[in-house]
Amino acid sequence: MSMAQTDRVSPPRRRTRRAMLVSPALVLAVVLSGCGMTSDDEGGSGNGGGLTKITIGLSEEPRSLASWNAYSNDGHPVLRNIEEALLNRDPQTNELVGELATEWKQQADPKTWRFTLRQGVTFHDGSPFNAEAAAYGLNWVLSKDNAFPMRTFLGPELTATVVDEYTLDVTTEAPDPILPTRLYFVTIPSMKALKEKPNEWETHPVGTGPYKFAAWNRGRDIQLTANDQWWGRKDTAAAHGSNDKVKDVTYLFRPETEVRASMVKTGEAQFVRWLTESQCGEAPKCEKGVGVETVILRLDTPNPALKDPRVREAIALSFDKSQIINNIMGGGELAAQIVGPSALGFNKSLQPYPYDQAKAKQLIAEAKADGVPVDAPLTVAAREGFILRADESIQLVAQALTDIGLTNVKSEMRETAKFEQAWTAGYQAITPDRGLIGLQQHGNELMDYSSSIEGYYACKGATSAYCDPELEKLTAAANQLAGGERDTALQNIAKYVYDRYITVPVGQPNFYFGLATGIDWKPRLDGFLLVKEMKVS
Amino acid sequence: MLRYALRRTFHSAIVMIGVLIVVFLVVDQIGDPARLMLPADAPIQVYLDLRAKLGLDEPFLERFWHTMSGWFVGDFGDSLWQGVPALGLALQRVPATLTLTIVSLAFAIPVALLLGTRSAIKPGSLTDRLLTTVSLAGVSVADFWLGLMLILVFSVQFGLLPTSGFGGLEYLILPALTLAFRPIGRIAQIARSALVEEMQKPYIQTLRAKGLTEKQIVRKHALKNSAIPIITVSGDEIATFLNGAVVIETIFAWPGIGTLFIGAIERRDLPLIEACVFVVALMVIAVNLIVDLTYAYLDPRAKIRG
Repeated sequence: MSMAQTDRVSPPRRRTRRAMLVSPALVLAVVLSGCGMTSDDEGGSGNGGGLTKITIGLSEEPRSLASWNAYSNDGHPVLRNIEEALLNRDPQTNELVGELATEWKQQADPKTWRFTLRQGVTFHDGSPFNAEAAAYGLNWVLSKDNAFPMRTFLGPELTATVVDEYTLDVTTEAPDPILPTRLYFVTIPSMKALKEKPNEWETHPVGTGPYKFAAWNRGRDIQLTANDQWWGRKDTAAAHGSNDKVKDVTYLFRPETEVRASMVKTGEAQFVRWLTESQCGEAPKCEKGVGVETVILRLDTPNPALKDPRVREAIALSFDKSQIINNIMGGGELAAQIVGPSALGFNKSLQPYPYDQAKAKQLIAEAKADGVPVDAPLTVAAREGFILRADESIQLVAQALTDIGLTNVKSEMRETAKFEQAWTAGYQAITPDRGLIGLQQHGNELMDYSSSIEGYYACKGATSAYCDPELEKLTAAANQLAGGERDTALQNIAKYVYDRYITVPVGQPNFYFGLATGIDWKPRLDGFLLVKEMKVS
Repeated sequence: MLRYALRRTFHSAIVMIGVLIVVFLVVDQIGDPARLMLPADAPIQVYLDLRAKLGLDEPFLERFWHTMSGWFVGDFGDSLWQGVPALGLALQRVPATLTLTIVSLAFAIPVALLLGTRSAIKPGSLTDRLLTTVSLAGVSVADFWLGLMLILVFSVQFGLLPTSGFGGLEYLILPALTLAFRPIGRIAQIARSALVEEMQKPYIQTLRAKGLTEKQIVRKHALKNSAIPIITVSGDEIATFLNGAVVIETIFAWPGIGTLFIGAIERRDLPLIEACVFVVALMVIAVNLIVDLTYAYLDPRAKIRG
């Protein structure tokens, strides 16, 4: 008897067998899916017809929603919509503008800055925003004992004190001419929440901003709702935008760029950050812009080959920066400095190092003739999963260096911790035999060149592979200045390091954003995603 | 059987403590979480202050003792990066991991058995060759590619299912289907080879002589007798899934333990790594115990010694 015959004479068993195959998956799916799970919010009301809720797709979930994380790429897209700082930046001009402060001025004692605070502001928990709350919040977020990473952007240690209800003094241990620039990062949490619910500090932010925290389903989403009592609703000009239409904001976290691109195409999200150029082109609407990030090569100057300025210059000339920025990384601006035009100290007169392989070969030949060990082992390395297509870029550079006569060059992608360990060793710990040529993306979030100089060119800089007493003097002098004088001094330093080929700036890559057609928004230089600045229709 | 289960659990607990100790020793040596938590150009003093706050500047033995003593009261400490209890973070991911694992395998195992048995009934036939090719494709296809293709077709092109996320049944279909491909291929291959071998045994000839159809022989006799390797492979697949289907979780933003675990390793977040190891190990121990007990049920000759 054939199988078919058996099937024909046994219909009940056939149904049972099929049920056996199908039902386990179905039943378990239904049962398990029903166990306390609710659907992900699919975002707004579509691409047209007025959005009252928007869904924003990001590549990573915030590690924390505490105010200290308001500077970071994972934290600020959420936190800067909930909490506010004393100052912000104008989205068009990038100038510092008041947010929770209306005026600020350095006092006769240069160690003190006085801030006049905005009146009539309340935190989401109903407590008033005043000098006491501001002082408490600033002192908490920047406390040495708390040691939050936000202190990276702190200069001299500071203390905030109350002058009167709406006047705040911030005193630093040494004069800090760019204190307002630093405080633009520091959002102010509710004093009441900090005191009454300290356990919720990392998870339930309470601020004064246009959106209130609603929920954080870890691994899934974060939800905000509009703060109808926000001061900016009545004073849109001072607030630089007030998006009254969008009542609910949901953040979803999708590490894979292709998935984020799909979300904005299907309408699951109305705004997604960081796509590739081609993915952005397929989105309903695409915006792009450079930020504060610059891709650079840093050279280990203690190395006997890289110590020679001719070898460093040859490396700077050896490869096509446009090939990396425009063809590999998807577009952007070539750079001559490790900071872009957003930073004070940006020197417009400097041009990106040209691509001149012939001259590079000649420089290496001269160095070799003078006994410089051009066969010293050199490693062009980058961190995994950080810079777009970094593996291709370092291969290109390594090949270019080999082509000009550096005969012992290899390229290597390194796991994050291994790369960071080498990158942050500091000049004193770099041994002559290391020969690291690191490809890295440097962000000057402060928008002041001094922080980049301190990091990359100072003898004790955390990411420095260079030491020059003359440069130390120039930096110390510039750090005491403010305004135009500071700008000039920093530009002079930019020229100084440019002529010495300490780092090789490659360019500022574009960042691409996919938007629904109903959203009108332009990228900010600082990368903040402020929903209040999105115009919806 | 109860004594056996208790003894296995006791042995597993000892192994788990050993694993936690090894993880502590290894992670302690392979990177500095404080450096990773800060921007690359953070000043040295900021870095040193953060190390002190996290207790990373304490002597090794002190840190080790402090960490280990917490394990015995279920306290793995706070995640260095997220500042909340690490065990809670790991446990939050268990429902999603279990859901994806169970649904994928509840789909994969019956399909794989169907393919395997159909192949085994007539080895070398066209059907066998076709199904073997299908199962080989299941084992070979890159789940990263498959996941993205399914999103492009079912979400972007036809708009039938959400691209990603976690929630109702519609969110489960694509990741479960993607995840099921490999076990379908692997279990089908094992089922086929086990059944082909079983079908050559003398008692099968006797059954044929008695007039039973091939289908009856397979269903009533051969399948049960060849179930041990199938159960073993299925248990292995379950254990793999419980460790986290990192690629699938990443593509579909499925909040399972895999992405949490990998993220913790990348960031050298020791408390969270230890908590993930603990939770995954508990689940794997439970699965292994179930598999062992299933052996005894299916094959009475496999005596369990208590």
